[in-house]
Amino acid sequence: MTLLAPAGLAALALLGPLLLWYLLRARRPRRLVASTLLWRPLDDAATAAVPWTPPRPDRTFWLVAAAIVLGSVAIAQPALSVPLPLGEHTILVVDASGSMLADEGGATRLELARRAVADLAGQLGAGQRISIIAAGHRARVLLSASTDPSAARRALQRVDPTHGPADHAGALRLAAALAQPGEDVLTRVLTDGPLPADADDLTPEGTVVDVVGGDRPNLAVLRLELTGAGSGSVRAFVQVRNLGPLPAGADLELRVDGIAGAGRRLHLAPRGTEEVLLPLALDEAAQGAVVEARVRPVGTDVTGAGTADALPIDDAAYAVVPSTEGLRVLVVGPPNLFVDAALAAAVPGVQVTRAAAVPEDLGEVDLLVVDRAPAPARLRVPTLLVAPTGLPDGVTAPAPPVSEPVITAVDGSHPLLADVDLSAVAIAEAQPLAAPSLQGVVSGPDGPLILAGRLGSATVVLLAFDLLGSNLPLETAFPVIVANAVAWLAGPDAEAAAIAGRDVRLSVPPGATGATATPPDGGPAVTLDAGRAVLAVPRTGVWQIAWTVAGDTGAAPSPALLAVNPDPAEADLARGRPSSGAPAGTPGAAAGAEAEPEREGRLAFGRELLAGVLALVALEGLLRARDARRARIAVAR
Amino acid sequence: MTDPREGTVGSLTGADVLSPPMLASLGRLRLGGRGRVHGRFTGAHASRRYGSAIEFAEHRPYVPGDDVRTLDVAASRRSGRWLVRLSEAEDEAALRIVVDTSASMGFAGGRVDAAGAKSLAARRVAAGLAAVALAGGDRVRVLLAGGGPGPVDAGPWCRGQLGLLAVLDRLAGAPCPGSGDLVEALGRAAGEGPRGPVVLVTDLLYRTFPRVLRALGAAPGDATCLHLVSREDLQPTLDEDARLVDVETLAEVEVGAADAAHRRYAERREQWLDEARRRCAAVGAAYARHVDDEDVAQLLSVRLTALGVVA
Repeated sequence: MTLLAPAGLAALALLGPLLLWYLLRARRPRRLVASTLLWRPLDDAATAAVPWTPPRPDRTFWLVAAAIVLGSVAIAQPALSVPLPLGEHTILVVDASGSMLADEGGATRLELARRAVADLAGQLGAGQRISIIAAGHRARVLLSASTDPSAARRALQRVDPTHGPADHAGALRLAAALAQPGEDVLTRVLTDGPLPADADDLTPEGTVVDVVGGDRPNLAVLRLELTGAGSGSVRAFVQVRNLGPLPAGADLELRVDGIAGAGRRLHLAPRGTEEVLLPLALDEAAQGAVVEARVRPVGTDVTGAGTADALPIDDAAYAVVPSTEGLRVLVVGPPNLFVDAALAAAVPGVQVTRAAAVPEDLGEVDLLVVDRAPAPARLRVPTLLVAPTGLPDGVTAPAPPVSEPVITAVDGSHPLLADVDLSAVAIAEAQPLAAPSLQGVVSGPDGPLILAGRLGSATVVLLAFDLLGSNLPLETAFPVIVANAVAWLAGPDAEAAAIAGRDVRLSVPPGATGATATPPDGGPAVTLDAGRAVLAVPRTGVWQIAWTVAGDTGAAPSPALLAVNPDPAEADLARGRPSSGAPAGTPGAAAGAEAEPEREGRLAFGRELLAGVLALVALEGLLRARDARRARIAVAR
Repeated sequence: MTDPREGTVGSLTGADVLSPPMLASLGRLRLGGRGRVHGRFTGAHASRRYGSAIEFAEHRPYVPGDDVRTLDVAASRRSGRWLVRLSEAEDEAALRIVVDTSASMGFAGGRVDAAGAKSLAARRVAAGLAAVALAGGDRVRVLLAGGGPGPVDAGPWCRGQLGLLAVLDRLAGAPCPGSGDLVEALGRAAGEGPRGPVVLVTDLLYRTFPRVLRALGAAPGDATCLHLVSREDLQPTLDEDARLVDVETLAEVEVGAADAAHRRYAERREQWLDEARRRCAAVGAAYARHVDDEDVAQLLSVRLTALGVVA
């Protein structure tokens, strides 16, 4: 404790006159009289005839002495050194990232941060101001230099958490902009993890990091990818991770447009990852469907408690089944009923056109089929070559055609041959080919009969025999292998899902002039211009993209779906974090570790002491009134 | 050791309050009156109403319904219209005596005692007045108020010899200090029963005595204040500096024994007595001062007779 005005203790000198009064005060005998009514004007507290009599302190003496002591100390302005939670201008940066939605025993970390900010706002004193910045997908100033605690509480309700990382750098830039030159600014960052490296450089001096929450277990679906498996089916690649310190059980379930498709029970080691490949049998109508991989904790951990999962937003990942709708196929060569029928039957929505020769401009072609016609030397689009009369670069014919080759080797794992049975296929004649960059999928004794691979920038499937010289078109396997070839060559792979909190550049279809993106929760739609189709996706789930066209220039392209998955970095709820209350930049410490606050202030309590003086005076008055009342009662008795 | 502030229940007897010789000396006195009374029963005091007494009061015009036997034919002939003769009525008086039984009244010898000088004198004055009234056929009510918490001891209306015994018993047995507020007692005395004289017996040694006197003056009948003081009140003995403690409030006052203090006390006492007299006059109340060692019979037969309280 310190005294801000030690000279105030000089008031203790008033004790001298008080003591002197009691030393010199006459000790007159008490005498009971019928009434003092006529004596009262004569009240004459004369000094004692014999001075320096031993003082006889009574209750009044002690109360007055205590009041003098308290009053003197109050004038000296005593103060205690206390941690100073607020500065003249306190800027509070609230982390609104996805991990702040983790449950901390009934309340989310964000709610804990809200309470902490509300508590700090409640401590606002005279002349102190507070600003609040939400570090969500984009940093946003919610309150600027306000002196009103209720305004701070209202501003906290506007914190809109993202499912991705927090924009700490942007928030600290805003904090620096809010600080006025010459004022005492204290920046406090309420977060559940360390500040990123780009934010460290922007951290104002004296910034304090208040850590919210502790280590929490979490199960997360870190990845979901769909790959073609042939026959219209896909395989789902799912990566599930246990981010807790104990083994955990989980049920993984895949749903296609809300209908259960596949599932598996997983046993995850502490901080272990399971990668699962699950086939999904999809029909034609499933094109463009949404696949959801969701994990649910099951069973108990080694302590007997139920498996915990603190963060719900990363329990599901999403993907959209690719669609062949609108696939543009150019068939070059003489008419072939089998090829036309197979394309129409096996590839829904395909648009087939024919040409006598391969045109120079293949900009409007998604798949080129060269059937008994010369192939261009350089292939620029995915191409299906069927007994080409002219070979592209990279493919040579080392030997003359062979008759009635038999199939001796089949690579059944290749997607091209999924669900394809070639055991009854007979070939009249085949051209032996050599293509170092192509893989022989089906081979005979004299060389490969069906090759697949990449020539230059284009994927290629090459049939070394004429379909009309084989019974393959009559086999059940033919439409299947055509469908597999189309899917493998030009089938739109499931685009990699976007990550929440990051910007996504949309592929604008021809003719579209803009887009309207609707979030998964049906919130306010975002309108984009085709020239700058960059969409911020702060929410996980499936976004709906509706394309717009200018005026009546034509029909708008079909809407698209965009899967947005959680940021794996937000899933780890036990990452290292700085000590709470430590200056920014302090190395990480164990959660909950105590740290010395770096700012101290003085808490003056002179007013409380003055109130104590008044209380003593009031007490004396009350005691005197009580004495008088007791006296009246005694007299009445 | 007994607390000197504690009072006592009266250990007096009726003979202590009103001795037979004194009762005998009061036999010729009757309750007087400065105004008309309004009693329920016929008595010896001029009433506020007309009656059937012999004494002529006045005439008034005849109105249908009047008893024709009251027509004054001679007066009617002189005035030329029918006149009715009205006669005086005489009612009993309803006397209220409010006795101050506060601690200052009973203070004597360093303690409060019902038999203290002022207390005893007040009871004797009240008993004498009651005896005079009852002997004249009037009725009496004695109200006791001591300033302490609790109700006023209002007492019943008394009439005749038995009523006198009851009054003497109440006065002899009244505790000191008693309970009840003087203003409240005066209010009850004025508000209950028929109109009649009110007599207050008190020492006026309290700060609220102007309010008490105003309450006395508000009574509808004749009001009289009998101011009882003791010799100690008039000329206190103070040999040394002292801290005086009020026996009622325990308020303390430090005073010196110098001559100047005595002089100032005397000035203050005269101011007080003069103020009491002036305030009584202002409210229309008769005022008589009585020192506790003076003769009560002399007070009743001489001084109160002079004031018209007793005839």
